[in-house]
Amino acid sequence: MAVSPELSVMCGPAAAYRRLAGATRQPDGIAVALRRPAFVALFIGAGVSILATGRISLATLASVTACWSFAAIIQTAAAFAIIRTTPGRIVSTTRALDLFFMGQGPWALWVLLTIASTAVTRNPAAIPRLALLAAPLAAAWTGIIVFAFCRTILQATPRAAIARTFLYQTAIWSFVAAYLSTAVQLWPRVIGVLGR
Amino acid sequence: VNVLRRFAWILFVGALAVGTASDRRVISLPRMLDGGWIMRADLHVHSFFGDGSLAPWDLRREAERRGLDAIVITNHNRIGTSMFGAWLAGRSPGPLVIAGQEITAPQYHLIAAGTSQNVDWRQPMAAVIDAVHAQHGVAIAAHPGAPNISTYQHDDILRKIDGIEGPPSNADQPRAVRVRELFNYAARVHPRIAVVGASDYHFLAPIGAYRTYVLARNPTAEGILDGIRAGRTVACDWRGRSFGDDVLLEAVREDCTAMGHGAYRPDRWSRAAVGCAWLALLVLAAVTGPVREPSA
Repeated sequence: MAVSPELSVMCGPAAAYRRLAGATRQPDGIAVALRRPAFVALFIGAGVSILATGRISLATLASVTACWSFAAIIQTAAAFAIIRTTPGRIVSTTRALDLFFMGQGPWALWVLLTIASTAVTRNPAAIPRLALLAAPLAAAWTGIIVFAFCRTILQATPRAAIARTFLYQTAIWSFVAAYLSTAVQLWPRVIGVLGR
Repeated sequence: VNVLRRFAWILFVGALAVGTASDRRVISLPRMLDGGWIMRADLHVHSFFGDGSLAPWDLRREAERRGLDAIVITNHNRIGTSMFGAWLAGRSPGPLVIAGQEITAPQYHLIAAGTSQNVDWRQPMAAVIDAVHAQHGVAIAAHPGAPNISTYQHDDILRKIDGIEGPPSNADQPRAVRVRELFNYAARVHPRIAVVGASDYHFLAPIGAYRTYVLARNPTAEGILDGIRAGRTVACDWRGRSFGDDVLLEAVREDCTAMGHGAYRPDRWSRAAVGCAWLALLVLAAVTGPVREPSA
C-alpha cells in the first residue's frame, strides 16, 4: 500500500478495509486495540487546548486530554459493542478495534479545520457557525466508513451493516445530546421556545 | 510514509516543548485608583464539566495569561464545579475564582456571582434575584438581548438587579442598540446599576475578550462583588471599546484599548508551536496515521 491506512480508509473505505483484512500479518493484542483510541484522546486534547487557549503546552495538554478522554472511551465502547455482537468478523476483536479507529479521519479534519478557522477570523462568534456547517459532512463521511467497516471487517450483510452503522451513530449522538442537553440546560430553553 | 510519520511525531513533541517553554507565568498586579483596586474580571465563564472546554484550574491559568484578576465560573444551573474551582484557587496565588452559576430559565439567563448554593430556576425572576441576594451574591442580566429582552423591561426587576451585561457604547448591531437602550433606561431607574462586560466563554479563545473593570475597595471576591453592587464598573470589548462609570472609564481606557485588537495574542513562539502542532496532527491523523501498520 503506497499510502497510509488512514488516508486510504478516508478515500476508499471498502477497498482499504479489504486490503487491510487480507494482509498476511495482523497485529493483535490489547496494546494494538488501545493505540489508536489513545491517539484519538491525545488528538482531542491537543485540539481543545489549541481552540480554548490559542496555545499548546504540556500542562494544559495533559489536563485537557484527561478531561476529554471520555470521548474516546465512549467511542471505544460503542465500537466494541458493534464488533462483539457481529459473529462473522474475520479478525480478532482487538484488531477490529484498531481497524475501526483508522476511520477517524473526517472528524480529525473537522477539528483541524475549526482550529485553522481561528487563525483567519478574529471574531470568536464566527467560528462555531463554520464548525456547525462542516459537522454534518464529517458525520456523513464517518457513516460511510463505519458501513464499509461493518461490511468488510465484520462481514455483515448490507442490512446488518446499515443497522450497526445506525446503532453506532445513534449511540454516539445520543451521548453527545445527553451531555449537551444537561450542560446547557436544554429543558428550560425548550419551555421558553414553546412558550413564545 | 514511515519517515513522514516519524517527522510528524518529532514535530509534535518539539512544538509541545516550545509551547511549554514559552508559556511563562505573567504576574499582573491590579492598579490602584482613589484608594481602591482596579480589578480586571471576566464575570461569565463556563467550565468543564459543563458546556465549557477547560477545567477550573485551566480556566484560572488562562485568566492569568490574559491578565485578568478574577473570573466567575457560571455553569448553567449548576454551582458544584465553580465551588470546587473557588476552593482550589484559594490554595495558591493567582487570579480569584468566584463561585457562581448562570441561572437558565425559559425567559431569561441571570448570572449569580458569589453564591454558594444552586438557585432554583423554576421561579419568577424577582424571586430568583432575592434568592441570589439572600446568599450575598450579585445578580447580573446575562446577554439580555436573548432569549427575551422584554423580561428585563420592568422597573421592579431593574431596581433589584445589580448589573447588566452590555455592549460598549458604539456597537451598532440592532441587538446591541436594544441592550444599550435597556441599560440607559435601567440607569435612570437604578442609578447604581453596573454595566458588565463578560465573554460568556465556552470553547473558543479568548477568555477576557469582553471583560469588566471593577473598582474594588480591596482585591478580594467580596471587594469585587461590592464594587459591582456600587456600580463602579466599566465594560470593555475585544475591539477595545469601553463603556461605564465615568471616573473609572478614564483610568482604564488605555488598558482596554491595549487589550483589544489582538493584543492578547500569544507570543511568536507560542504561535509557532501551535502552527507546528497543527501540521503534525494533520499529518498523523489524516496522512500517515499515528502508528506503523505492518500490513500497509
